[in-house]
Amino acid sequence: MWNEINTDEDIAYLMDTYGGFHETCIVSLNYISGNYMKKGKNGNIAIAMDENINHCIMLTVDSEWRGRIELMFNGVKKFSCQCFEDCYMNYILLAYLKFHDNLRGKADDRLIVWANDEDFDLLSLKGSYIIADSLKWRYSEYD
Amino acid sequence: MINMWNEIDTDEDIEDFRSETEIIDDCTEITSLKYENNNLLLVLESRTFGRLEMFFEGVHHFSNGRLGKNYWQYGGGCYLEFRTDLLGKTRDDRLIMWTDSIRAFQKEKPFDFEADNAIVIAYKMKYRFIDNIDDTTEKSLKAEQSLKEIVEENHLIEITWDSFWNNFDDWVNSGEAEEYGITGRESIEAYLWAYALKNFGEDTKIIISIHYDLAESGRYFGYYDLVFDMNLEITDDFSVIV
Repeated sequence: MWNEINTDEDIAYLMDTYGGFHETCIVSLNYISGNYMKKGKNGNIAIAMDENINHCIMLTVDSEWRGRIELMFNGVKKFSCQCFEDCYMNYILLAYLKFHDNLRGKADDRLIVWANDEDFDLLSLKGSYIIADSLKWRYSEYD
Repeated sequence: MINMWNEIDTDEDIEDFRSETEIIDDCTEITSLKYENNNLLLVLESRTFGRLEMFFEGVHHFSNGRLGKNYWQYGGGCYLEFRTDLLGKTRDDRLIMWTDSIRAFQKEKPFDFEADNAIVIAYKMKYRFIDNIDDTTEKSLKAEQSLKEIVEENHLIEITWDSFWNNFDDWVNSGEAEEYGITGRESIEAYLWAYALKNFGEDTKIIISIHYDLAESGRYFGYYDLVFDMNLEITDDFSVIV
């Protein structure tokens, strides 16, 4: 079952349930834009848009103690993955997950921000992060 | 059509890549990106050069911005170069850097959603075209012809269809498909997408891929891959909802 993240309480529940992503790692990240090339009846090729897919990311995170979960971001605005430094891979000590309503100058334009660092700095944008319209999560069946 | 991977090892390879991916209009889109095991497969679709797959190994960093519902992921071009200055002053490891705009080489402005571009930094890269390929080398044509003969003579496509429908029917009967509005075979439109030789480590295998759309909306929904070894024994299958 998917768990929607709509409120601060939903965020707190995920962070409590998953231990703040303590000592987890990124297994995979899959992004689909929802757009594709389509040949029209006149033979011309143009970009078409799938109304049901709007820049989605499925992020899979694994924990030795808490299992593997899948985070589905919809309406992704921007993302980055810092894959490895020399001595470590996609290791997460504690993650960041918060709503923000001031990223594009509109108070009602709420976005959700996930990052692999609890001290994530929105100005420097270092590390791995995903900024999106919405988020839901579930335990992976491939745990 | 089978398309061979082109490794990027030299500056000449980069020049070849640039000339093949030169953008002559702005109808270009990053349609998908898959990261796993520190490898990244990035798919770019263009009205100019068709579908381009770029496979990065030893990925150091990737990012993408400027995404939005009302506009495309416009790719302003394909810029590729070797860099030896990305790991600090004491390292000169040669990394390869790809971006869809020359502006990405410049410093990003925080939260300038309109200006950010896609960028990948990795140790190795190779690419291939899926559509609109003009690969007429004798080698690739022979490989394509021999694979086609193997597939046809051994009815591998028919075997794949049978396996696909068995899996699909089991999924529907389990009740899990209802979540997606799928109640039976009539709910989807399935079609043979491709067959290809693929290297799994040192083993070469044949993959036959069936894709399927939702019948009502026409939306691409998932795919099913059946994998044969070179003795034509089934070794694996994958059923994926995208």
